[in-house]
Amino acid sequence: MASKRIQKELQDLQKDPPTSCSAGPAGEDLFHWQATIMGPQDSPYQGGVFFIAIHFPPDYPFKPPKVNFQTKVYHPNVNSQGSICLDILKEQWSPALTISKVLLSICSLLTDPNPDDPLVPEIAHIYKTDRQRYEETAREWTRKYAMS
Amino acid sequence: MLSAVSVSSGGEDDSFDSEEDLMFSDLSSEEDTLMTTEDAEHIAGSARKSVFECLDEASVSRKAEALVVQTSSLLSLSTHEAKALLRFYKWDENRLNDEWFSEEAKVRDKVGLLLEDRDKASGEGTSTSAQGAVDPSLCGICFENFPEDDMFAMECGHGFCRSCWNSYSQTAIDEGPSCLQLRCIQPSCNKLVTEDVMLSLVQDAARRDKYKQFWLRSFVEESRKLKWCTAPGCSMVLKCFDCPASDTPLDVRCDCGHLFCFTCGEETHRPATCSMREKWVIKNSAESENLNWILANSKPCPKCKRPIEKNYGCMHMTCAVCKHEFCWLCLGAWSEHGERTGGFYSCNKYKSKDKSRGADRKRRDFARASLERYMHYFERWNANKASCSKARETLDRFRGLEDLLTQVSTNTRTPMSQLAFIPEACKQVIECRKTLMWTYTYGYYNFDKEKAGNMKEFFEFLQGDAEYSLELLHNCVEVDLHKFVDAENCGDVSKGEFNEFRSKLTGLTKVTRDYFEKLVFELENGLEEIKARYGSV
Repeated sequence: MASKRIQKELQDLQKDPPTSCSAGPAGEDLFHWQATIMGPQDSPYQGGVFFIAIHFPPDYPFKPPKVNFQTKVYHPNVNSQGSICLDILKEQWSPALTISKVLLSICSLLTDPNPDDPLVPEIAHIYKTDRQRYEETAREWTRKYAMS
Repeated sequence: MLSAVSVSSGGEDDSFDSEEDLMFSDLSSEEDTLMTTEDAEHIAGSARKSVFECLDEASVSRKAEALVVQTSSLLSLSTHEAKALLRFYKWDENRLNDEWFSEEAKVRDKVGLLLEDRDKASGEGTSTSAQGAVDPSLCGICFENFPEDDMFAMECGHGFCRSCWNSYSQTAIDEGPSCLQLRCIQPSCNKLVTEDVMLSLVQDAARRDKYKQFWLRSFVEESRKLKWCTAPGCSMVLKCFDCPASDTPLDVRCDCGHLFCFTCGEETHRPATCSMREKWVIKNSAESENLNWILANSKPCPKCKRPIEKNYGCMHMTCAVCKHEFCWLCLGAWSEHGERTGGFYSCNKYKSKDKSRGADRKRRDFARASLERYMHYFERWNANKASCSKARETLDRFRGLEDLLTQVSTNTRTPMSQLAFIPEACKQVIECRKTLMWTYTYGYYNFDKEKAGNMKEFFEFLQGDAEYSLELLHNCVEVDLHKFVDAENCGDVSKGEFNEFRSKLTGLTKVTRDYFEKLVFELENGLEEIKARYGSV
């Protein structure tokens, strides 16, 4: 079941790739993907390319995929390990969701952080109290880690 | 089983109704007797049958079924809908009825029960299914086409193939009791997967049993009036007719013989309250290493109190069992975290109470003093605990290998039937030792301030009296008895001497029992009576 569904998702992604992201197996293993997200326009991440590792559990899609940033990101909902705090990757997961939708959600999370549900409280605090400083730091990190 | 609720025959419904009526009439009469014997109940040293009853799994299931059937006919719903509603309201039919009749639509929405006649198209999730366009034969999960018969949808109309529905339901059951509140696969849809749907989807016998067991567990664990017996391996359920307040202990005895506190599920601990017992045991715990780990790494869910280990992500926690969302830092409800209430950050702010540096040393001195005080109470608590288990050993020796009672019977030429007073006395010793144990905990927590003054003296006076009487009894049943056990001495034991022993032991048993019942009564009522009587002293 899992590998068939993953294959289908891969085909759909190749047939009709979403704008600003791409995804596919990292190597031989179909259960291990790598994805890239382009930093969204009008966000301090603009111009950066962010790598993301995706790991499918054997009971996918009934259990959510494990998704991690591999590129350092300065963001209230992404910690230094690359873990992402996103409800659809945890208790709000539904088998009707796909990797393409997960990636789109991550894109919109980059544009609109959720500081009330922060994984890194310090960044969330700066985001809420000193938006300019947050944007500068995020831009600087994007330059440093997501452009090469 | 809980799930075996039948809606078919009218006759069955009638029988349920009559059983239900019976149950209620039982209940009210229990309450009547309770009112009249209230004072007696307070003094009762050991579990009294009139405030609780012991049920096996089958009769608990029947009670659940009866409640479900009754609710379903009252609310004109199917039994599985009634069941889902009852579970949501923790099997409290009064609360359910109140809310249902005042705001049915809201309740339906919360629980995930759609109105039958709701326009299906309006509930449709927009374009969340993977293919975008609506193709009724395509499953949005495995992306395969199926003939119409292999597709399945609940009332909400979100169709997926049966095989995916099956895996979805099985995964939910494997994840635990939260499968009782599983929603439609469609992410935007709130429709609850009710029991009938679940059982039509899942064919695997082991999982079906597990699912049914979750229902039974929900009924027992979430109803305030029910508790599993806490003895290992025992599956009996105790039902309390009139639940005590949250921290008030209530001794119950399961038919299996196990005695425990209904309120906290732990060993009996009167006169100490449940929270006292808990604090005390944690304090005493030799496994402090383990304890430190649990304290450091887990917190009880603020709603259902099950310990939760945080092993993933952010501070926004969702309990795996009750789905309660809360903040890991302050344990407040997550719904209260947001812009509106000043934001998440208030949890990070340390609300300092004493800022002075000198406080540190003061605290250390205080710690030493309080440690000494603690040791005083602990040593006495522990000594009584040891004494209690010694008395248990003695009780075992009366029967079993050594068969002391038979020896006494032969040596004194007294029939066994007339020796019941000896184990009786021993049981009294065990019970009293246990009570005495917990009076030290009671003392430790109640008289920790100097202001306790006179009250502390009264308490110690009562405790001392009871303890003295218990010492006499314990000595009599262990030492004096030996005279009649050793055959050699028995030659010169006269009938009169044994009769004397008998009346001494019986008398002491009674006196000690009275002392302890009085002690527990006084302590549980906060020594009010004594204060009123001797308040001027």
